[in-house]
Amino acid sequence: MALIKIEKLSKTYNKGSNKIFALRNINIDIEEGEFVSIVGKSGSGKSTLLNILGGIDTNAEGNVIYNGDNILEMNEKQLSHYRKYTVGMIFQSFNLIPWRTAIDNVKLPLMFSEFPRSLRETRACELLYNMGLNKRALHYPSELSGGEAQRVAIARALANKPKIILADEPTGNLDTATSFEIMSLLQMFNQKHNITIIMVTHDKDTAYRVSHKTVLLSDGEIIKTTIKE
Amino acid sequence: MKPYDIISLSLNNLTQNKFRTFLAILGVTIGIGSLSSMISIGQGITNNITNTLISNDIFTGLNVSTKDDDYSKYGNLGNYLYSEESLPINDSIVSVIEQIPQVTTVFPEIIKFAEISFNGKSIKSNVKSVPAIMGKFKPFSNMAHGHFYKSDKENSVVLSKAALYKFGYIIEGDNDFGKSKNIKVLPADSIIGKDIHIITKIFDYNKYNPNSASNAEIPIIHDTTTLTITGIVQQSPLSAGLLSVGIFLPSNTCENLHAIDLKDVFNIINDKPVNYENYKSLYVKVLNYKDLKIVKSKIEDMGFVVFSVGDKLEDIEKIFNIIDILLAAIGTIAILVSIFGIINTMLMSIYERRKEIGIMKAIGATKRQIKLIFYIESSIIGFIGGIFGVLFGCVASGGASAIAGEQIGNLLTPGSNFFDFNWKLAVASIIFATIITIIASIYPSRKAAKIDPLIALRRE
Repeated sequence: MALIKIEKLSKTYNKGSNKIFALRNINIDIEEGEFVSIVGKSGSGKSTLLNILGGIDTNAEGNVIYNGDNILEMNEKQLSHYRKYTVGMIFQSFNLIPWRTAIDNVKLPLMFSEFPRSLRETRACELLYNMGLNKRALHYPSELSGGEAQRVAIARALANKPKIILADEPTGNLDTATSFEIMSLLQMFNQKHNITIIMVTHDKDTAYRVSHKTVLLSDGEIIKTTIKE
Repeated sequence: MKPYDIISLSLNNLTQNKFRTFLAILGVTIGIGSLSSMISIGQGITNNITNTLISNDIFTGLNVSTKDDDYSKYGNLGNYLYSEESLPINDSIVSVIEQIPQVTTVFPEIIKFAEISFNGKSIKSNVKSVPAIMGKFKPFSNMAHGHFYKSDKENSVVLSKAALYKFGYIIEGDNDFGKSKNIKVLPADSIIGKDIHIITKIFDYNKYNPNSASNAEIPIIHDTTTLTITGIVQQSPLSAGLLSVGIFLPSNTCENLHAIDLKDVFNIINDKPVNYENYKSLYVKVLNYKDLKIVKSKIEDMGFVVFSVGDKLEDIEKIFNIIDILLAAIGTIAILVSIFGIINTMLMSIYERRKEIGIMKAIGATKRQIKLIFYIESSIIGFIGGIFGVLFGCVASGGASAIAGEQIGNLLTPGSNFFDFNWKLAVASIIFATIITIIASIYPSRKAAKIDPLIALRRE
């Protein structure tokens, strides 16, 4: 049984009297432990799809079934629970809170999930250590390199031990070498910890290299799905 | 999310933009400072004047007179003088009133007009009989200098400071009255024990001819009584009732003064009966000013006219309530300004932090948690602003009190303050500041909670 089942998912925008499809009749099954990449050009709808999967955007038609529940029909409380415990999000621009140190950024989701206060420090340190950032824990985001900031963002995404990591162009702002490091990290968590990763990227080569399944979107429609043997 | 986490997040947020937080706290400080100082000044003035009146025993005294002394009933002096409708006030009435449980003491009010000479200076004034027993009660129990006379037969006199002032003297170290060229400062010791001469006028029956022309001069002879000053009583210029006459004599001494009574003279001239057994009026003292109404109605039922300043207490309180409301209204305007300041600050803060709010929602924060963070932030502003506001209000009302004290301080109890900044007002102000800032943050907090993470995170 698929971990996430996307059925007949469509999203439309109204631009004047015209109805524009951001997503049109998307059907994907994502299995537990899978590394799925969604690729396509700008405006193809890949980020919109990721936001729907992250429970940030629920204004769409169709079904996105996780654990028997349709994310699109969840209420505010259920969505918050889903975002807190099921998914961890990584953004192209890292989206760290600038006035919180690296460790405080990692501790933030632990606050919202009411993770025991006495264990938060240990948990955050452990995550930063795994990212090779144990010496940068007390640094502010402005004092970190792009690669380091993204690794802090990954640590934050992993804080509440989610089943799924949603990564929106995680290497978009990074140089090649750093991108490679980040991709290796994601692969490591996917393989070692069996975390499902759904990544949006415009870099097809990387997508095909690291993913079990690559979905190519164009104008909101799936035009090709590649499954690595 | 645990309360500790919400407080820690809120505190962190507040320290991010210290200047904005400072301005928001300053707004609350000024608002609460203004409101609390206005209330404290209002309360202070009310308490002060009421206490001054109560401490002078003005509210525990009743004046009982016969119906023909009721000026309101008779339109002119002629009717007043010739009225025959009075119920007599005599010793039996005194003993009946004394039986009323709430009554402490009753004595006839004997006021005589005289020329009084002291230290070579003369004034014309009324002298009043006050029995020695009144020495137990304020203000006679708390004399400024010397002591109240011990018996009703003593050849003694007690002066008020105001009466002394009429002679052109003030006591050394006394700031109750203004100083001028004609006023001489004397040490209290040089007044106590000194003699005072009371010169009264007596109707000379021997020289009176009932058949003389109506415009003929009334035959008068002068009588001088010498008394010793035993004490000086503190008297505020606000004092009324018992203290309205500033020269007090023991009952028997006053009774024995041979003085002409205008009403008696007219009665004699017009062949009307003169009853020397009756009193013109009585002074009734009650235990507590709250008993005044009961005693008053009992005496009125006996057919007398009763007057008390205490009746006016409710009117006085009404006036002070209006003053309090006006002062509070001024303070409320300041509070409203600070509320709008808080709303503006919070909205600005939310506008600046919408991406951060979007991130928090994306990683699992609920609407309720976001709202709580902003409520706590504003309540911290309110709480700190409230504390500083109380300090500011205390200093401001203290300053205002000092200025007012210089201008009108001598009207009230010496050493008194014009503000009443008690701990209850301080605590209430801090709680009020915290509550109003939370109320002010309801709209901004809801706005923050409604931020769509999708839109917030899209902004770069």
